[in-house]
Amino acid sequence: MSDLLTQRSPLPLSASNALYERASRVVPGGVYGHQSPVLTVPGSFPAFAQRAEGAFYWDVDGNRYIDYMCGYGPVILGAAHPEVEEAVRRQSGLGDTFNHPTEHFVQLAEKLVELVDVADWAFFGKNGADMTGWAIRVAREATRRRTILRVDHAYHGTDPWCSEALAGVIPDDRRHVRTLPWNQVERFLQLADGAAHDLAAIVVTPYHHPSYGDSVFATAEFQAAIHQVRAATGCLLIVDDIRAGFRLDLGGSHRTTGWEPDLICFSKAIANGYALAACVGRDELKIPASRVFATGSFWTSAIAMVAALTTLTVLERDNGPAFLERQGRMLIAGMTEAGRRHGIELVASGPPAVPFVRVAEDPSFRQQQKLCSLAAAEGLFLHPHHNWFLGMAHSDEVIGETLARFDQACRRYAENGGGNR
Amino acid sequence: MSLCFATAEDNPSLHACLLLKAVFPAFADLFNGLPAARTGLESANLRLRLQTGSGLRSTLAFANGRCRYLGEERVRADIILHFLSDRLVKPHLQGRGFATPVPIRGLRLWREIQSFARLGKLLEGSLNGTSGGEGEGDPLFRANQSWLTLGVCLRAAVQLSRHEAFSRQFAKEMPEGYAEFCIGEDEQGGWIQSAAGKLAAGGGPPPEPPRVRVLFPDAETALDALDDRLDLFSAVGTGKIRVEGYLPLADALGILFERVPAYLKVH
Repeated sequence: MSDLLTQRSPLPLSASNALYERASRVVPGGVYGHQSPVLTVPGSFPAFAQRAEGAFYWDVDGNRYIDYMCGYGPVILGAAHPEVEEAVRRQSGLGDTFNHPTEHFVQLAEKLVELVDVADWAFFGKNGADMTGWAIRVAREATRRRTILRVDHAYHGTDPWCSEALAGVIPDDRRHVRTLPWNQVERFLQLADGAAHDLAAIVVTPYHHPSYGDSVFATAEFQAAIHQVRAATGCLLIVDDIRAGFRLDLGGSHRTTGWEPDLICFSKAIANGYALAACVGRDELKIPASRVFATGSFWTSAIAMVAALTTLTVLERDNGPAFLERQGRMLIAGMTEAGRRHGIELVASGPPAVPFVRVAEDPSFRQQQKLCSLAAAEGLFLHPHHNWFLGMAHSDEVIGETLARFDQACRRYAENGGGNR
Repeated sequence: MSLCFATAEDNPSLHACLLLKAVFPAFADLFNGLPAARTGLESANLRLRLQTGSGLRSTLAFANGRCRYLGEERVRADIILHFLSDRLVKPHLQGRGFATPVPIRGLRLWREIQSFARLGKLLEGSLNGTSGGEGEGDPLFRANQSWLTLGVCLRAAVQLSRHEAFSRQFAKEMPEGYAEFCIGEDEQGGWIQSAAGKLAAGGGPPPEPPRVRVLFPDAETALDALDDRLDLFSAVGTGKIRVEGYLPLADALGILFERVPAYLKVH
């Protein structure tokens, strides 16, 4: 069988590769973090962007992709959404970063309190990790306890308490952080028991969405055990809704996944690509939250607030979550059918609006890497190891074009000896 | 450097295991791979055992111009080199003091013991990249150096996962499967297996299809990578080093490899 991974990508990526070489000379890692080409398939995916519009994304070589990563989540309405951009333009004329917040800051907090059932207040930052880190501090302040329970391989940012990567992290950073396997009730109860009267918070995501793995919903037993421990110990339940927030339910993904949170962290989709994060919480946590000092030069900047207000208004008006679920279902059904036509068994997981589809029986992910590389060559940006994101710009027409291109990718994959192994 | 903060544990039995089970097998690799290494032992037909006072032992068998690592196999040895205690291994590994093993059997084979000592020096030079002139600059020498270093790293990672507190815990949480490491066009290398919290390593292709393959294009790149002289993300991103398959397994092994130099100066 010809090994597609050893062949040159049919995509012209010379500008991308040249920029990456330049970047490698002046930036540690070349391109770091989740955007590193190392985390896709180097040589088969671009490393640099040029522009985006609606559901489409152009890399620096001018290759066009139908984009199912949406900037790894933020671009929920579609890139360069006219209503958001118009609101941003208006605010740009007035300024962005001032000595104080603007009225939009208050409006946005009010909007989140209106939308999210457990929200009696809101607090803002820029990135998800600003909020997850702050939320555990609030939990510790509120409970006067230290221990945090979190789930193995759940991503909450790159701060030392939760980073998946270990470089630069010392054991003291995690002295009071324990990890538990998702859906393992017995292990959870052991850990909760071990934390005894020192358990400050349990941090979960609405459903488990690890990289290099399927998305998995919580079992009723796991959820019940966590809720019981919370009730019995008085610890807080923090739901990190950064990944899926506003795609499943505008009132928070806990409404569709069954959690009863005390604090919820949002970011990504809240402002359609403008940098903003938020933490919302119950009234009884407002005073301890007020004591936990956190700030940043850009945390209250007006443009992102305006973008968020517009984004949430459009999502509400257009019934965003229902649309995304419908489009996601169409995408998943079409892909698995295309796979079947070409003898490829595909496995889909996660909510339809945040799906992940992979080649079955492929623990090394090499078949998945081949298929996604071929899809990229057909103009589809489908990450081989990370869940995908639907957006409001994924219209019926776009999904139709996606499925036609995916069929081509499957055909080439099958012709090159791909299959399940 | 990572969570581990790769400071060495004061753990004499770990040091002894590293010498006997990670470094000692490299004598066989060097002997078989580099003709210059066979001087004085090319026609030897003997077994040489290295052991410690705590009962740890490893044996090499020389026969027909080849050398085979027999591990802990209980066989009669013609030469026994003995460390009075595990604690004496650490200064030996670090080249400090007079902590050399004592020959307690085979003194009549003094010429072979001296040849073995010369082989040891050559191994040390090969791993450090300074052969003292013997073959240095020779592509074969550099190739030897890279796969000797890789072999020691793979085996050392296994020993760390068994005997070092951090690594033992870390191995329990590692992804499972085989990882294959290859160097150069002929893809010489070795593998490491993670299964149920336990690690094993070997040379050549793995017995089962690997979950991840790491391919170094040449000896220099492999040595740079193993010696922490390379921006690995950039090297993988540019395709200089290829990683095919399940990256988290290679990443996890990288954490263990980073700890090796805290115990062994292998390159």
